[in-house]
Amino acid sequence: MNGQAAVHFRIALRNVMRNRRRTVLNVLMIAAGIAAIVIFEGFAYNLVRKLEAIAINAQFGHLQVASDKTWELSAKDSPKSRLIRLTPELLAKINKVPGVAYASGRITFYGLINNGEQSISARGVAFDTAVEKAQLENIRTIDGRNLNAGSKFEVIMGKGLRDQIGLEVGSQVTLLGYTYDGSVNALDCELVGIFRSGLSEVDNSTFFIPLATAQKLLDTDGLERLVVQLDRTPDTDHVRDVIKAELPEGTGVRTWRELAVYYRQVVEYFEMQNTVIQWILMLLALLAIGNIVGMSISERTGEIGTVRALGNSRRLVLVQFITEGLILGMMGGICGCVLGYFLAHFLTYLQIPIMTPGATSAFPMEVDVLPSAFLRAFIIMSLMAVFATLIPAYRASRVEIVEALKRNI
Amino acid sequence: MIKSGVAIQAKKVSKSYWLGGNEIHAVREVTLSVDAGDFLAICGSSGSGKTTLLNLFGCLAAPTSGEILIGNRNVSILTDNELAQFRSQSLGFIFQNFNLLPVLSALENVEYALLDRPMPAAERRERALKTLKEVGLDNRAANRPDQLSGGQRQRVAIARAFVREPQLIIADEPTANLDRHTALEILDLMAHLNSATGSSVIMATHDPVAISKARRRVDIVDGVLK
Repeated sequence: MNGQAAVHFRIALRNVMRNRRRTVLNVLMIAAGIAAIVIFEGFAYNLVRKLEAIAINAQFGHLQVASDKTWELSAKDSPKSRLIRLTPELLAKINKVPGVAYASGRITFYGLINNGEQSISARGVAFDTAVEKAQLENIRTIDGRNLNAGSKFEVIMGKGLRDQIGLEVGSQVTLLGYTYDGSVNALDCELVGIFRSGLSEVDNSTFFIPLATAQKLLDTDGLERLVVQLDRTPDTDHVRDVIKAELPEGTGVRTWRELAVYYRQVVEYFEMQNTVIQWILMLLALLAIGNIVGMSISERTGEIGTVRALGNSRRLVLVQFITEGLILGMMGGICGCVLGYFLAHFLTYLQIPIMTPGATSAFPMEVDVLPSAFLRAFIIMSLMAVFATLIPAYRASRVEIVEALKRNI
Repeated sequence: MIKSGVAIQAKKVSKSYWLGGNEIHAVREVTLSVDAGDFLAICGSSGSGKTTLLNLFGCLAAPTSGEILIGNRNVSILTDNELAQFRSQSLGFIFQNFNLLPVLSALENVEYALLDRPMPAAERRERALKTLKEVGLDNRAANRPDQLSGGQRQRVAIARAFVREPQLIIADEPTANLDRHTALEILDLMAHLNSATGSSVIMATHDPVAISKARRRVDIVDGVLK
């Protein structure tokens, strides 16, 4: 090795820097492509992460244990058949599984809320306020206060639901529900707070009450499901398998991911959108860079004739131009990563309000800086720069020497 | 390096091509022999076929018929890659438009001709600098072509051609773009290096002064040697 590769690299670098305006244009195109990819991915990831937190902490927990009939949702089964009997032994076993923070019972039911003059149908979610701290922490009250460990005969409801029934914090509210034996039962509670989850489907139809209060209303000591909260979300699948082995026949366990339909739809939507955006950017980069590199190579046909006359092989000519494409790609890649990094922070700093479908309130836009997205975008756009060079470089390498030399004027 | 024997032999070499549906016979059955160390001028008017003949001798184009031997090697049967390697090892070129690489300095342009030679980078640089000194441009080694005059550029091109110490140097109208005084300097330099290195020179020209500097001349008219 006598430094031949280094010399060719130096020549490629100088050629890239030869027409600065053209190089700047190329670099900007690659950089913009990278910045677009990393910002979109960072934004989508942040949003998905928020939805994940809502799904786990405010809706489903990490895992839910319930009767198989609860999941099947068949009309021919009586509501009572869906209840599970929580034995202290089973609860102790689940709580002892490594990674489990706590397990607690829940009941979800449909009933009526009455303000003394009119009734409205609503979905009640009952949980153990003394145990489910994550659930309590993630209910954002905008008026009044939250439920607490000592709550009894208290209720909080979504803002949309409150607006429909027209109750104020501190009002007495009558809850009506069907017991698991089919009788109608009623219970007076105090409305202590109004919450906003950010999801209209929750805010317009849901109220929370303490588990013991719901059991009294529904005249049962059973549970519809057991919510299991874990220390770490990545352990979900592993802990599910451990718990599954402990459960009696007819009882199943599902992960939050299986239960969170909206979350899955959003993730699928973003994945598809992400793929489409990446392809569009790749094609645009390919066409734009290919066009610019093609012009540059065409202008240098005379030089190609010279180096071929001096003894460079077609392959060496090809490699020379591909190296130039690679340098261009790397320069654009580095600029794109820097641009993407600062734009991500800048957009987060701006706190632009974002509304998602089904949301009841805007939240500030945040863009996560994802090293994996930066790396992928860098590789994709650098490769695009190389691919864009391939066809004009191949043509250049095939040019007849005598014809090429005529271009040296 | 003094070479001996026959540098190049052309045997009934013809070159024709198609242009607008007509077959053009650019070179017709040329038979020619050039001794090692010779300085041959191929003379002819514009369109006479001298550049085509030079391209054939320089392995830049393949003959339609006949064969060309450079040294003892029949270059008419070589593949594209073999021809590239052969040009790199055995030929040097001096062009009418100098054809220096614009992104390289004078020294780097000369060095470029030695890139595929198995020698350490320092030795390559030293040899390039020595040759640049021989053409009187060691003080402009760092300058790029656009910072040099026409004559200086052609000197660099001459250094690039001779630094390889090739068997044969192909010079296509090397003085066509130079003023009279500079042209004379360039021709003297070529003649000097031809004598000093023993590399044969075949030069296409229609310039009487250039012709007078060659040791031998052949004329070409309508593709036929006279």
